[in-house]
Amino acid sequence: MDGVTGQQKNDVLNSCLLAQLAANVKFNRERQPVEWSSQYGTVLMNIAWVVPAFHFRTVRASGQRFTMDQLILKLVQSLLTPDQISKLTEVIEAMKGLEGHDRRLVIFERNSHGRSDGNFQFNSVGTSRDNTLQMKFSAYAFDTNTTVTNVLWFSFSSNSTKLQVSTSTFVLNESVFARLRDPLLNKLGNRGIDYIGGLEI
Amino acid sequence: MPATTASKIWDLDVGPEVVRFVALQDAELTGPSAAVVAGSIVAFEPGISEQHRQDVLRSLLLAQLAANAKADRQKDPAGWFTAYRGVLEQVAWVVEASAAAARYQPPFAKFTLDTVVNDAFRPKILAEQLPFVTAAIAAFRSDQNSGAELVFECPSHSGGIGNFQVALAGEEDGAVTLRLAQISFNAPQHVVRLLREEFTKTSQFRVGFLVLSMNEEVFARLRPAIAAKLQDRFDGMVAPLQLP
Repeated sequence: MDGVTGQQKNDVLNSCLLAQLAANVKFNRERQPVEWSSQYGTVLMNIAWVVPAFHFRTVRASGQRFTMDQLILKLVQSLLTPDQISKLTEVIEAMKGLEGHDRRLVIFERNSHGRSDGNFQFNSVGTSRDNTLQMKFSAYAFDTNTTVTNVLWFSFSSNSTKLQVSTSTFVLNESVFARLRDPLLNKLGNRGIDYIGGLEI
Repeated sequence: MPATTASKIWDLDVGPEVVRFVALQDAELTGPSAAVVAGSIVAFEPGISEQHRQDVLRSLLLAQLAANAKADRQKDPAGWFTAYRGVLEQVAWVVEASAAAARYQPPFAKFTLDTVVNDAFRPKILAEQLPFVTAAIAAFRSDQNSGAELVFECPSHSGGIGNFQVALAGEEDGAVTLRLAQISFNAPQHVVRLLREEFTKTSQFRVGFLVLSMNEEVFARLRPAIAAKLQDRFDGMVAPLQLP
């Protein structure tokens, strides 16, 4: 959330918290990543985050083998600006070299050792020139018949890997969201208090 | 009661006295610090406010107590952690990143938990953040027979099985981030002092990772309810670690 502060930061965190809790009720984030992400997106769309289309599509890599970092860079060409792509490339390269963590990039990753499947999401939040909040949401879910050691630069076989991808930009309609702020905060706050009160410890 | 008997009772060695973490509340804490909260060790980066330090400790304690009520901490670490994570999400922590628990492959034939914790954090945090975690672990190891040990040992393991967490909390521009390694194990030996135990490759470790951001606006509304829920359980289950 680089550069996003104050009310806009609260708007993002409250939106994400509501979407996360509502999606958790319906689906398991780790076992049903596609369904979970779809529900997450649906909630955001209902609280004034505008998105042209939000759905997963099955992607086939053209070569015999591919690495996820190369594929991601290819897929985000139409989603990100050249500057953002350059930053993303830098981040991926830095992670390759250092196995570091960069705050601009948020990765949801799941490692499974029985079957090799997983999902991860890149979720980057920023503002456009006119100060409109934008959340670029990229979610990936894969299923392969080989054991994956490191998801970003593991060499996948195109024939034996099913990859589902969703890349969308959510833009906040601030004038509508302004009317939802209080109800949203009350919902999260009041139900949180009720939840804590009923918690067995 | 005769005075001599009262004095004898007073002098009896009944183990380490739990140092109340609240004693640090009034202190001006600007450097790194660390604490034990039930079966978790938490390192705080410099600059985190005292309010947020307390928020982190209370959140971690609430999540552990509520998860204990739902699943067997040692025998069902996966179910326990699902409940634990669910509580944190419900009390306004937004999941930024997660890696489900996976089998840990130790690099050496014999190893201690320092290695596991180090390997869990190194790829997930910045190089300059790692020393805060290692300092907290070192402080725990060197502070034998302390209140922290008394608080941590019992919930973190039982016999040869265990389930504990190591966390790093930081604050940047008022935003609190919590990075949390979830570690569970099944070892052939009876573990006595967890951080000083030597394990071999026959021990099976599973490690997961979670990155959470505090939703301050919502959390502020929940603070009184969380404090009321924990009431007097907080003091006895939280102990500071003295960093070198």
